[in-house]
Amino acid sequence: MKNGVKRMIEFNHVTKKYRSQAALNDFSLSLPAGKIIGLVGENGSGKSTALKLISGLISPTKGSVTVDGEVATRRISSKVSYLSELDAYYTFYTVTETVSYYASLYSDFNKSKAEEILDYMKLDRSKKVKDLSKGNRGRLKIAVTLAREVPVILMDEPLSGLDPMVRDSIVKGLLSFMDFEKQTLIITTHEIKEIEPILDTVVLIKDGVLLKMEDVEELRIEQHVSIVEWMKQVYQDGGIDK
Amino acid sequence: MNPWWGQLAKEYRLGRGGVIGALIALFLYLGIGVYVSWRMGNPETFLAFCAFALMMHVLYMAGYMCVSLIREQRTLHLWLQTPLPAYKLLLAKLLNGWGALASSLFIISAITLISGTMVVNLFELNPELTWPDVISTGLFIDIHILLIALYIGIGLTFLWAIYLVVSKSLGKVSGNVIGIVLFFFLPWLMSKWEGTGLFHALFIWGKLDLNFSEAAYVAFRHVYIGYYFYHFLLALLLLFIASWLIERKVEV
Repeated sequence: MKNGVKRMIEFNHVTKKYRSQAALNDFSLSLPAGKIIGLVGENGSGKSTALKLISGLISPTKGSVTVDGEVATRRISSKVSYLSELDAYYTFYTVTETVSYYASLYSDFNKSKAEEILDYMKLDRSKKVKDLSKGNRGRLKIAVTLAREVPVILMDEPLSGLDPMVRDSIVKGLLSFMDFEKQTLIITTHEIKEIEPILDTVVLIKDGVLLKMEDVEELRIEQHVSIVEWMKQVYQDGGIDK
Repeated sequence: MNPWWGQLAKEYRLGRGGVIGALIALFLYLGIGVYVSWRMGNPETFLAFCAFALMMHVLYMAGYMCVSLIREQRTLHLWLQTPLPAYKLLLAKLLNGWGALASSLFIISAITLISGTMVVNLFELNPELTWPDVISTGLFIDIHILLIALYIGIGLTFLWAIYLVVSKSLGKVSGNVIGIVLFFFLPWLMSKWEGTGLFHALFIWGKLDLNFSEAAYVAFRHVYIGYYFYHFLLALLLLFIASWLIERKVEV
């Protein structure tokens, strides 16, 4: 707890190197529970690496990452639902079979919620994943990620490859299908304007370093700037939030 | 549903295409055998085709695991994100492959038996041969094919886990080089170790006479239970290391 707010995710002086290349460098960050958090920054800034570290799919070279007090390893998947940026699926399954597979794997998977999301996304359940359009594969990915009742949901570029109309409906869907009493959503995206209305907090990173973390409402009301304007400002100032 | 059953069902679907493909290839090969045998007017040729196909089943798990692991590599983040421990993920693959091997082995064994007893009639060629000889020899061969194939499958899984770790940290070329070096070096090292006095003292015990009749053409007259125990331990060790690497060191 910090200022009465439960901290769900903690990065403690995390450095992550891929061979000699550092993707994150002495990165410390504490993220609150029950919020929608946007992780923004240029390409290659370390956003996806940060999400992979939370999901336990990679380990820090130095430092530690904890989720709900537990060190993030591969088995943190019992607390974290992760949507990868990759367009990779078990293509031999149909939509229904994909949902059943996830339901068999995760005890926290809410099948009726998944069905509700499939209806909302207007997905043809009988279609094989390999026959779905890229946009529909993206929707299926979102459906199975959101249907898990876990404390942390991570979405890496969930809107990429989707047309603007679909993006808008998905952003609205995120609000209706999440339980903010119990769940924290961390989302990375380049479509900042589209997700801005639903974000509580925004975290800006550049070259693997945390530049700033701000309350989105504060930006809007007190500083009268949008997230993109704020990003430009911070980039110009080169401000580092430590 | 138990998560492992779900994973087992997924592995079945992942491997199904390859298994059906292998079965079609087997029947095509046997079809060629029938044709060649008919052209040569020599039924024994077909029996030789069958025997060769039967023996080649020792490589079945290697093929199955190669296809399954390469396909898995394309969606590695999905596989690693499952809540199951790595050993259960690997066992789901190995068990599916072993089941497919057992089915294919049963088919080729039955065809070999039919061609050996009805097409060629080995009993006429070798009057001392009896049905118990045929059955016991066949079972001995099939059980050993199942065990050796599983062993090779586990060995390949071990190499794959090393490849994943090395290729992520040192690059794909290094991963391939280290994988290939280990592929040749480890069997060489094993053969050296198995030739030592210490190995004989530790694992060559529990002599078991096989009592095959002379007519059964089996070269083995006895086996050592200790030798099987050694390979069982080695298979467990390889599976343990592969699971540990996947659990702790493999990244996407």
